[in-house]
Amino acid sequence: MEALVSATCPVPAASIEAYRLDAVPEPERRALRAHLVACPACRDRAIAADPTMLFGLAPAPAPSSGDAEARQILENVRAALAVRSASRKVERAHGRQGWRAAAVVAAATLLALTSSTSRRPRAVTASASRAARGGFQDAATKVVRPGADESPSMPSSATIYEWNPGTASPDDPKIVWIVDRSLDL
Amino acid sequence: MELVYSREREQQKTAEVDDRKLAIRARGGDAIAFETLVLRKTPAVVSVARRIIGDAEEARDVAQLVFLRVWDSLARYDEKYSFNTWLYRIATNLSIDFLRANRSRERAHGATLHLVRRREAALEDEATHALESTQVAELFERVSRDLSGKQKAAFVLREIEGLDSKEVAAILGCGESTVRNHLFNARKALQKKLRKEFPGIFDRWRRS
Repeated sequence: MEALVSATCPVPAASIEAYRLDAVPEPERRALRAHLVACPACRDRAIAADPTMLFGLAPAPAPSSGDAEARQILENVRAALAVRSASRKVERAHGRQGWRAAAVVAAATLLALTSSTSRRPRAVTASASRAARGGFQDAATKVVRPGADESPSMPSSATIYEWNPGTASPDDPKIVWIVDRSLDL
Repeated sequence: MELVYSREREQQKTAEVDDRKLAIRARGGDAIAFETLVLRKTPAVVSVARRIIGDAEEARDVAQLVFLRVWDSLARYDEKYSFNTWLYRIATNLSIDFLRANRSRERAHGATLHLVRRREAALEDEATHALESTQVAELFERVSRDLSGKQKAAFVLREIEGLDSKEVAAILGCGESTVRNHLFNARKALQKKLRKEFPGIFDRWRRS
């Protein structure tokens, strides 16, 4: 028959059993747990009753490098937050430029359509016109600054992609896609 | 250099402020308060993650994710509740997610099996001798592998970290009776595994 108390410790076996069954209310449980961790005789009795108690009552392994580990993790967290903040700034800048680029494209397309239908001079070079004859072309062309015809929203340097599906008639509307390269990141 | 020195001095000043106040300050954008919390809470977060995941290196990686998640979620922190409970909840959820992902990877690749077997053999040899705390942690990692994430988290928080059952319930987002259920099942599964794979440990305390 199991002794009610160990030879070296006055804590009764019933208390250990109650702890094991999770039947000890909280403040007492914490105190009893502290005792079980500190007292080898009681700890052995608890583990003999239920070996899984070993995991809770064994002293916790010391962190490998204590404060150094916390500082290292803090450094990594700081670095990750800094990288994320920088990426967000880039994304925001990209987003703003995207809107600006879209506005430029929309304005330029409207301008091109109007220019074409009213037979006003086109603001593209001859090489762009040549490229345009083949349909949708990836024709890298600098915009010729058209002087008085210049729109305030026109970029100073842009690539024009022109789409003209097989018609060369000057009366046909022209659709152009203007990308402002100065907005590239 | 001056900046680093000032930062450390600020951290020392905030060392006496309690967690909840620091969290409120961090929520308002105070980086020093947040960093003080990171330094203060790293050991607890790494410890819980390590017990649930079973690997110190991976636990440190998860701890970093935990603090990033804390920073992102501070706006949602309600100071009516304990900061510790909130932090443990994030740490436990991320550790369980990591454990699940890791298990699916292991299932997919069947990797590390021979290493596990070698470690098992070494543990069994040591099982009849006094176990060091690190060996106990390894033994737990070995025998708890088949527990569900919630069972393992409940056991770690309640039995190993010593939290009260109300707090464990809040962390796991369930009722206290569910926590008791998780604990009961976890304990049963662990006993079965210990008896089967490490009878030396069982007998040692039976004889004592």
